[in-house]
Amino acid sequence: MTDDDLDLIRARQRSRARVMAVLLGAFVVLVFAISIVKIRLGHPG
Amino acid sequence: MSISAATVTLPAEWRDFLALTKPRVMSLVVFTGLCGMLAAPVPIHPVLGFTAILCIALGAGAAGALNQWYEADLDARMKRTAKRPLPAGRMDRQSALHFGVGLAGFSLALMYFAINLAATLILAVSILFYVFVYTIWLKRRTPQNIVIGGAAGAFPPMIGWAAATGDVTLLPVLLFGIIFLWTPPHFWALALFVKTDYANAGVPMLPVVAGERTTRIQIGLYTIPMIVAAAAPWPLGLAGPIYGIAAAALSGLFLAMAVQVAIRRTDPESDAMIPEKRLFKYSILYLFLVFGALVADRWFT
Repeated sequence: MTDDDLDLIRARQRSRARVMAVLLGAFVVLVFAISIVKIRLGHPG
Repeated sequence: MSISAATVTLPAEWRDFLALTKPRVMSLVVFTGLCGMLAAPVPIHPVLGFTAILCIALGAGAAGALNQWYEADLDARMKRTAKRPLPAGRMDRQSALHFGVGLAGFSLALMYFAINLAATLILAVSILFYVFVYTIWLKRRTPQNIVIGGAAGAFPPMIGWAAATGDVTLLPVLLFGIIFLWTPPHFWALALFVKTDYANAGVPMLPVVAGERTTRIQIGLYTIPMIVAAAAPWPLGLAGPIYGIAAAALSGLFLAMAVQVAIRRTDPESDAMIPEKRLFKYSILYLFLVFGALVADRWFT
């Protein structure tokens, strides 16, 4: 495996990690919003 | 089946995972799911509504990913699908399988905890139906594949409705019926002009197995119950005149195009299949507009 290959692998891993971080952040915000809505609506679930 | 396993050495790009979810198909699924939710008599909190639609989209994406995982060999033989991540060798099959199963589990868990059991169960049935009944069982075996398999794509309005109300009544069943009966003329119009592709891949689509003539007649025949299902909500008192008139006009146009396709006799080698392409494109617009009209009717009457 050449240095170029390694660079490409690292670049892809970085871009996937970045997307994953954004998605996880969005998920945390969503769960927080759902929790607040459920508390306000008084849902048991 | 192991097309890509030997050639893939690089980790797949995130865009390839997105492509696995069939984003274009997802747009119709999301739209019909949203319309089912908005047509329900019970309002849903916007955050919960957004979550339910997100779950429908993720569930549809998971089903699309599992479909591409199973059909990598078929996709490689069709021009239309050869550039998808698996047949093009940009991803290994194991990643696609893990992604699909993980996404399906995630969408169901989120739907259950955030929305309700009814919507979760229907979403689960639609994913399982698409993967096991359509993709694995029917697609390679029978020209009725898309007739029965069409049910999988017909569930979203029912899920949207169930997310808002917690149950299923006659109107969401009719909405299911419209998409279910719409699927055969829609797909067979496509199959008429990509027949060679399906034949090369060995998929027993109706034009490949029964010929063009039979397919054309079937397109015309299926259009009739589809129109009845689309018209039914108004006389049954489930929708008002805005929907009734819009559905009648849109269905009339659909029928005119379907009849034109049904009675045509062509030379398959030289024909440009323009009426078939037009029917295919219009069928997508038709579904958007009929469901849009239902929501407009609910809001303005």
